[in-house]
Amino acid sequence: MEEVPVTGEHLTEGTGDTMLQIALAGLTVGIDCRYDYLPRQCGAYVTAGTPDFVVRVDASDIAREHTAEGEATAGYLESLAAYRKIGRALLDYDAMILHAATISFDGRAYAFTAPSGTGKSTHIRLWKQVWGTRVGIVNGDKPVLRFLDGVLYAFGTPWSGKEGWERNVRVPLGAIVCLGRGAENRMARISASQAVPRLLHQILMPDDAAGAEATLALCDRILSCTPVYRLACNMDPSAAVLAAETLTGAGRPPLKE
Amino acid sequence: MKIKSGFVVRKVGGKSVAVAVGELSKEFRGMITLNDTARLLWDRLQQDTDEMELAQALIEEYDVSPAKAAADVEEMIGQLRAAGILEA
Repeated sequence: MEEVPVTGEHLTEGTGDTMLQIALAGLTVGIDCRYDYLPRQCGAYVTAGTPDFVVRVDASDIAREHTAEGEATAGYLESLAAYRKIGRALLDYDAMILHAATISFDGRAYAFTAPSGTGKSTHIRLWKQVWGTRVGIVNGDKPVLRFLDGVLYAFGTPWSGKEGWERNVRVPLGAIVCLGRGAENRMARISASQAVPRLLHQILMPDDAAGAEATLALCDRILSCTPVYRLACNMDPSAAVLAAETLTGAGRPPLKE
Repeated sequence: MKIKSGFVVRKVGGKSVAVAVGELSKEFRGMITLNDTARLLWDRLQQDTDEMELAQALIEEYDVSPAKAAADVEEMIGQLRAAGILEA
């Protein structure tokens, strides 16, 4: 189906003519879709077999994304709507979507979370500049975090932001870093309760009670086993040096309440 | 007075967090974090109650002075009312 820019009122009920099936976070996910954006986006993740769950997006789901996103193609909005539904279904598998640019470094994943426009991609570029091939991309925008056998992993996904930084990998999560801008580079570990508002603003909160409960429970579990840091940084490469040294222990500061 | 129904409340990272769900989620986006005192009052406000009962609950739980309890209740009620979370 051809993609055309739309406004909400031009959306029509589709036929659900493509069943896309992808490997995501160790699961097989079916996506019943109408536009060709999702098949192109998810090409590297296509898989066979029996799906663990299937999501279907209808015109009202797409229209809902439209209000939040401004001008966009119907295919792009369908992709956003599908990912929202996938995120809801993932809760049944101890998994959720986090809005974070996520890298791997010496075998651990580090998720840099912040509102859009803060400079997550810019900071990741500094890591690449300073640390070269020691840095690997997991996902530039919306990885999945999932507990498997008690270990929290960051999984690559096809939803990777405008840079398209993604690899279909899973890496144990080492830490979450709440990124902010600063004139000077400063980094400190923060307590779980300090992390709560920052983390909760970078996830999708379901609007049903069971989904909201499960999301809050999973956030609690994540915070109980994952160190969280606050990093205020500028665009100098020394920001990536400070961050890496702090995260990997060389200069790891004690937890201060 | 009582809190409108349609909130999910749960401890996350040692902090109580309230999120609106269902129809109410269209009205209240985002989330409300509650300290221990606010959580106690929040829980009491699930049923119809008044300032006197709420202050009494604080006095029993935290052994605070009646004046302090009344002030805390007044502040919390004021915030909830301003946010449109209370009914009646």
